[in-house]
Amino acid sequence: MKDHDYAYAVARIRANEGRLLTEAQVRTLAETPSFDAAVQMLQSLGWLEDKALTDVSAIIASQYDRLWQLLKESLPDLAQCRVLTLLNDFQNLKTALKCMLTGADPARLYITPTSLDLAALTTRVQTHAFDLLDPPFAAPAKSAYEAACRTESGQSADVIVDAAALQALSDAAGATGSRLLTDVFDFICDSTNMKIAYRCARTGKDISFTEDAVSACAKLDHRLLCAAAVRGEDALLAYLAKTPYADGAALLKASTSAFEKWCDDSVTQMVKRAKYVFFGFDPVVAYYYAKVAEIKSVRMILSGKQGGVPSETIEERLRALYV
Amino acid sequence: MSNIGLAFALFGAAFAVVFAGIGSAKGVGLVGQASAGALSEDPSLFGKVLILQLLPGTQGLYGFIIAIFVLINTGVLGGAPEAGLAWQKGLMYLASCLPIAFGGLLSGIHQGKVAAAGVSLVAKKPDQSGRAITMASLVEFYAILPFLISFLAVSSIKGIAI
Repeated sequence: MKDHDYAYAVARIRANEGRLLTEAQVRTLAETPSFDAAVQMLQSLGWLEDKALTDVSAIIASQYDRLWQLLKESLPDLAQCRVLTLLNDFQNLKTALKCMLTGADPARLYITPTSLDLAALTTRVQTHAFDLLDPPFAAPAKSAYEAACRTESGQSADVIVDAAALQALSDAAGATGSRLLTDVFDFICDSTNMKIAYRCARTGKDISFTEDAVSACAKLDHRLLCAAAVRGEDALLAYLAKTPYADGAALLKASTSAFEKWCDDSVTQMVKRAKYVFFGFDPVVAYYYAKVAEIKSVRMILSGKQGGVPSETIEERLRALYV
Repeated sequence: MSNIGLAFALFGAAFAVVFAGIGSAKGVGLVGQASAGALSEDPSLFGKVLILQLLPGTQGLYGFIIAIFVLINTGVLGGAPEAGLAWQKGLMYLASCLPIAFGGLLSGIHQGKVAAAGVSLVAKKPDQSGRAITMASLVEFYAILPFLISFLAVSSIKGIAI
């Protein structure tokens, strides 16, 4: 795909970028006195068009639907939409597997946007027809199911699906030829591996489990990371402090939410360089992550307002925005 | 072989139209795609993006004008082609057409890129249309220069005695 094939998509994306919420608008939204006032503000800004929606999950789902619709209509090749939602797709696969093992209904647990046919996913996983799943999901789904049956634990299944997801991300980014997407996916792989290694360190997992759980890294040394995790939390954090992710390592110990915020903010910072690119896939990638960060912030505000969380606490968790 | 001069001149005219036309077609096509994207979000931008889409179209027009001049000067357009046109003169016509042929090809493509980027700018910030048009217009200068050279050269060849 040539860069100029994205001229239509980039123009649409730029038009939509002008409608993204600004930092100032999000701060004002966080300071609104109530949930109703926040919803009213979103409606007055034109962010929330359907005035009948008053439920947080419905509001958020409608925004993800709009984002997905925009990408599907704009991009010259639908396969590129799938690349962007790959992580969500694997998360949904994990959900389907877990629900199949526990007998729960996965419908309400699936996340969007996703390029998977969720009804088909549920049916195929529940009937163990893993071979009918799309190629990147079929083999890990089967292996995860077999591992879960063998060990009678969902943890081993999670490890297999997570590793497959990170490998698929790496492969997919290379296939698009987008340097920005490769950098973003590399960062996602590394930050996910940091989380996994930290969890392994905290729960005292052995080297064999840790090496299986931590997948291939981009800027981290897989062997050193696993070895540090086995030696314990302090050894892991000491190793990470010497890597390009020292800032994030410091937050790992502080809190999961602080680390998650650092991950999201780092991605937003990374995609900002696409502001000055007018052709190719990069502006689309940037808009996708910008919109996702915006939606996450709005969800935090609305959920916080509904739960009576103070504005200051909400503001601390707000994601950095693209505009 | 007596028509070799005329053949060279007609090749020149064809070069001028075809290459400058390719440049314009690529440029206008690219801006057209970007314009469609912008208009799908905000149809009120039509006037602004139309100017940007028109800009890379001029190269094809310049090539066409030069080709017409060659056809007139060689008598092809008047119905009385200059059968004994010297091959040296034919080559001169061919050489005269090259500036707009290649200048038009490259400036058309690059003007299209600037204008398409301008459409994206207008889509995001409609008040910046003046700047977007100015930036795309600057590339036009490098289409006008080869056009003028081709025009002056083609106009002068007829008076040269060979």
